[in-house]
Order: sequence, then structure tokens, then C-alpha cells
Amino acid sequence: MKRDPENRSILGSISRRALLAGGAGALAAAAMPGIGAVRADEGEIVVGALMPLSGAGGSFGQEMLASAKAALAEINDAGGPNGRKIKLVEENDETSPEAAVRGARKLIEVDKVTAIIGTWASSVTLAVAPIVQANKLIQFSTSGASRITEIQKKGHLFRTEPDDLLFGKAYAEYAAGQGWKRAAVLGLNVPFTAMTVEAFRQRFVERGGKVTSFTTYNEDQTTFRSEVTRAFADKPDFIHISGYEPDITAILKAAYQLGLSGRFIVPGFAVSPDLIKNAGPAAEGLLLVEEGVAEDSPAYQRLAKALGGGSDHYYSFGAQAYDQLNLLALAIEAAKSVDGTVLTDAVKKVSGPEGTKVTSFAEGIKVLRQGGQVNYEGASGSIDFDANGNIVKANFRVAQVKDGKVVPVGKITDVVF
Amino acid sequence: MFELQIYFVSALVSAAIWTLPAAAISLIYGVLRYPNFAITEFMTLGAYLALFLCGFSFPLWFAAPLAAVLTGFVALAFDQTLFRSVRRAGALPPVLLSLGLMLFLQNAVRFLWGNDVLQYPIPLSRPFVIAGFVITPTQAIMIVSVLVILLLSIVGLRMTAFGRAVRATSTNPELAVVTGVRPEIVYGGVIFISGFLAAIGGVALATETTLTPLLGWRVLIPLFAVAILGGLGSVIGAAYAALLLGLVSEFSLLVLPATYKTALAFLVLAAVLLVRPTGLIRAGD
Repeated sequence: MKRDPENRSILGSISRRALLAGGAGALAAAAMPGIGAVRADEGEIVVGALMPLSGAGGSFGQEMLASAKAALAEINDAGGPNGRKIKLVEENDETSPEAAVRGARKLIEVDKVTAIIGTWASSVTLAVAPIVQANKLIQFSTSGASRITEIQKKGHLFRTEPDDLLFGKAYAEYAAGQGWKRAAVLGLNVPFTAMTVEAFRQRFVERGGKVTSFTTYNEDQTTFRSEVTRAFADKPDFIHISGYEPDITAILKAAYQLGLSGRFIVPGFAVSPDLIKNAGPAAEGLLLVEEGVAEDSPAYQRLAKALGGGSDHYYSFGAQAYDQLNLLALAIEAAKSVDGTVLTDAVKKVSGPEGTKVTSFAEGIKVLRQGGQVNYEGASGSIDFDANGNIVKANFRVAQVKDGKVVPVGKITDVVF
Repeated sequence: MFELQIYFVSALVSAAIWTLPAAAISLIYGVLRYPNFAITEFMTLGAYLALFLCGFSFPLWFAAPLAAVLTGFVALAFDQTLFRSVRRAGALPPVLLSLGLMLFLQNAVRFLWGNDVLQYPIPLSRPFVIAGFVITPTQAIMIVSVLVILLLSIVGLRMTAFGRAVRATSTNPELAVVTGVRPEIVYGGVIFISGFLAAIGGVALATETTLTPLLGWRVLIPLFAVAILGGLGSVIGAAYAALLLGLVSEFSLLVLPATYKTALAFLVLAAVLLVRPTGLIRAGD
């Protein structure tokens, strides 16, 4: 990559191909992070918001972007970390790994970002993480897939979304809390369900419950009648379906069409308004467990006010995006650096649980500038990162479909691994 | 709970969904001598066209056959433009073309209707229970419609001049030409009918599950298992094979986890082919 300056003087005598190669090399050298030293310790800190502004996560992406901007305004109003303003550059990942990789490269190579926040789909997070790690930056994600933990062991990647395993435990905690003893499980035959269901079973048995049957199904099935019959056969108190929207819809329909009625608990991310419309009467009474927010926290209330929605709005991914930018800004302030490797440790430190509780960037820098340690308690929860960068305990919300509307019916707080 | 009766009805539902598209694969293989992988996407296209027609407040029982006719014409159009040009080039080019068409159609559906999970505007109904057999009106109508279309196809293949030409071309193409059968007319007819049958299967599958762009793609493997088991080239064989596979895979739940349902279908396929290498029914019937 390195070219001797003397070469330039004999340009006339070398071939055009060599000239091109030399030019490309010089360009690449300039583009290499660090070498150019463009990202100096003065001026704005550029942060990339790589969010699903269209595609399957489209509605969440818009909410996340608005929430990140709310955090951005608060941070810059307080003067920014180390007195430097933050500039947010948005990119649409289209909920697709290919588009996300293009977006991430643009953010890193053109905009020279310090960090990327907001990767939502697990496939997107898995695709972008190696690029972020190779460039030694910082990435925040709202993805749940457990296999991301393996990638996180190399550092530079944090998740504010509860891991799928925590979802499994949350179903168990809720059911045990309701006094339900017998569970049947229907699971799509993919790796994610095997892990979640195992986590569910383990915690449910610990709480004195019993899994009466675990029936897996394939998505190529033409009918789900037999699987549903199997699940109902042992008269369980409830049935947990671990799958995605198309198969959960089909299973609910199959149960209804078999004349069966029972309690179904499903992951909230699998239930869109479409499911409720498509399954119609079959979706009545369906229980959803979704990632929670800290509704009573000052951070969440500020965010809800900034987004302008009524109390019936529920900004779970928005709260995470808001917290991601706040955590990043606090970490930069605490570390007095934008170096990704230094920040990996700093983010863990400002997330807590040790230190003075703060709920905003402004409160945080006051403590930090007096030489203290902070514990950021955010809009989405208390967010304390473990060694891998996963949140150690998570809050969940339970909602139920009533008359075609999703109504909150309960909370599950502080679910741990 | 009447588990056995429920499994039996489930097997009938599965068989009804598989029969017609598998018969379409079989017919094309019998006459044009290539496995057409785009059949599953004609299922998807037909299902979406039916939804489109339902949008003009046609009831589904009317929209479905109309959509199936449209799908037949779409299949015919692709056959006459793309596939016709490689008619004499052996079996591989049309197979590759059908794979390409499969991807094209799947993405065309995504482009036109999006990725969302959709549903026909038919109300979800609670079932009848007759002697422990639990079945909804929609499922009953679906099974009866498939049976009627199946019977019409079989009668058509046996009784009409076109049917005789199809069977003649399937058994011995050269001899058929010598006796005055015009192969292009037979090819076109078979493709149109296959598109029609696939679309009906697609609508049936969408009523039982949900309507997504991956509707047909998901049943590609079971469909080919059914078509091969039935003895490629035989419509009635496809029906028997669909019923056999339906019964085996549903009743397997009594002894095996549901994970093995698809694998079991292949075990049955292998077992039958060991005993009867030509499949259940000889081609041409």
C-alpha cells in the first residue's frame, strides 16, 4: 500500500496500468481509518443511524430515528460529550443485510462515523458487525438472536434488546406468576426456537411448571391441524407458540377451525396488525410478550413527550435507540476518546450497575465532570451490560388481543439469564 | 378430542391441496418431458390473482376458477415465448428456464403485492363435528372442489379427443405425431391446464394457511415427492400419492415428532420406488 514519493517523479516512464495501481493505492491509503487522521479530536462527532426505514422493520425504523433525534437534541443542548457536538447521519438498511452492508460502508468510509446505532434485524446486525469490528468502531443493535452473542465476544457490539433466551425465560416467569402449571409448546423447526424453548422449559420447571408436549412443525406444512390437536391433547393451561407471523396465524386459525379454545402466548415481534386482522376471531385473547420499556422513568417520559404520542403509544424500539445514543455520548465523555476499543470498555462502565444513577446525558456529564462514575438508567430499562455487551436483566410487557385491539395486561420485570 | 379422526381429516386436507399442483407437474413431465419447477409459483400467482379478483367483490368460489384461467393463460404465454424456443434442445434448457421463471414470478408477486401476510375476505368459521370428524365449511368446500376438478381432469383425459392426444403424446410421442396428433396444440393445452390446476392448489393452500409470496415455494419439495410417487405422468397417480403421503405424514404424529414429517414423506417415496420403480401408477393414465 505504501508508495515511495520518488516514484512520482518517474511517472512518465512507467505504464498507465502502474499509474492506475499507484493512484488506487494512494486513495485506499487515504480511506483507511486512522491513517488519514481526519477523525481528529476536534469538531463534530459523527454517528451513523443505520435503521430499517423501509421493509419489514419499516414502522419501527421511523420511530427509532425520531427517538435518536430526540436524544441528539438533548445531548447537543447540553453541549455534547467533551464539548463536541454530535452529528447524526441516517442510512436506510431496508431491513436487508445487503443494503445494510452498503449503508455501513458508506457511513464508515464517506461519513467517517465513530459509531453505528440502530441495527434492528438480526440478519442486519450479523452482517454489519464484522465491518464495524474490522474498523474498530462501536455498534449498537436492537436484535434478539442468541447467536449474536458469539460475535459480541470480539467486542465493539452492544445490544439493548433482550436476547431471545430472555424471552424464553419471560414466558416462564409470566406463566408461573399467573399460577399456570402445564404448558404445551408449538415451535417452528428453526434454531432460534430450539434455544428459546429450552430456556423457557428450564425456567418453567424451576418455577414448578411442567411442559406437557413440545411439538415442532415445518413451515412447508399445508395444514397445522394435527400439531394443534397434539398440543391440546394434554389439556395444558396455556400453549406457547415459538415462530413467526405466517405460521402463528395459520396455527391460530387451525385451532379456531377445530373448535378449540385455549390460551396462546406468542412473541410480540411476531404479531403485527396484519396478524390480528388476518386471524380475526382466532386471535381473540392472544397473549403477546414483547420487550418492555421503563414507562415510569424520567427518560421514557421525556422521550414520549418529544415524540408527541398519547399514552396509548408504546415506543419499545424507539426507547432503545434513544438509550443507545445517550450511552454512546456518556461513554465518549467518560473515556475522553472516540477510539472504539476504549469505548467498548467505557460503554459497559457507564451502563452500570455501579455508579450514580443518571437518566439523561445532562445529568451524566455533571457527575462525570466532578470525577464520579455514572450508571445510566434509560427509557428502555436499567440497561446494565454484561461482559459480552448484552443487557443482564430485561423488562417485558404482556399485552392481549381484545376486540381486535392490543391491550396491555401485565409486566414482567428484571428477567435475568 | 377425537385425535384419529382429526388426523384423518388433516390428511384429506393436505391431500386435497397437493393433488392438483402435483398432477400439473406430472402432466408436464409426461408430455413435455421436463420437471417444471415454476409450478409452485403459478400456485402463488393464482392465489394472489384470486385475492385481486376478490377485491372487485367477487366471492372466492367465483374468483378462484377465474384466477385459475388467468394463471393458465400466463403459463401459456411463457410457454409459447420462452419454452417453445428450446423445445428441441433436450431436457436441461427447459428445466433451467423453469427455475428462472420460478424466481421471476416469486419476485413479481413481491413487487405487485408486497411481502405482507394477506388473507382472503372469507370469515373464519367454527367447524362441524360429525361422528368425531371435525371439519370447517371452507375445508369441506375445498375438498369437494378439488375432487370435482380431479374427476373432470381424469374424465377429460380418457373421453375427449384432446385427452387421447395427450395420453398418446405421453406414451409415445413419435407414434402420436404419425397418427396425426399436432404436438404444439397438445403442449399448449397441457401447459394451460397445468397453470389452472396449480392456481386452484394455490388458492386451496392459501385458505388453509396464509397468503405470502413464499406460498408455493414452501411446498415445492412435498409436491415433487407426490408427483414422483404417483409415477410422473399420471394424474390419478398424483391423487393416490397425495392421499398416501397425507395419511402417512399425519398419522406419523402418533409415533414420531412432527419434525420428521417431511423426511417421512421421502422415506415412503424411497420405499415405494424400491418396490415399484415407475411409481404408483403407470404414466399416461
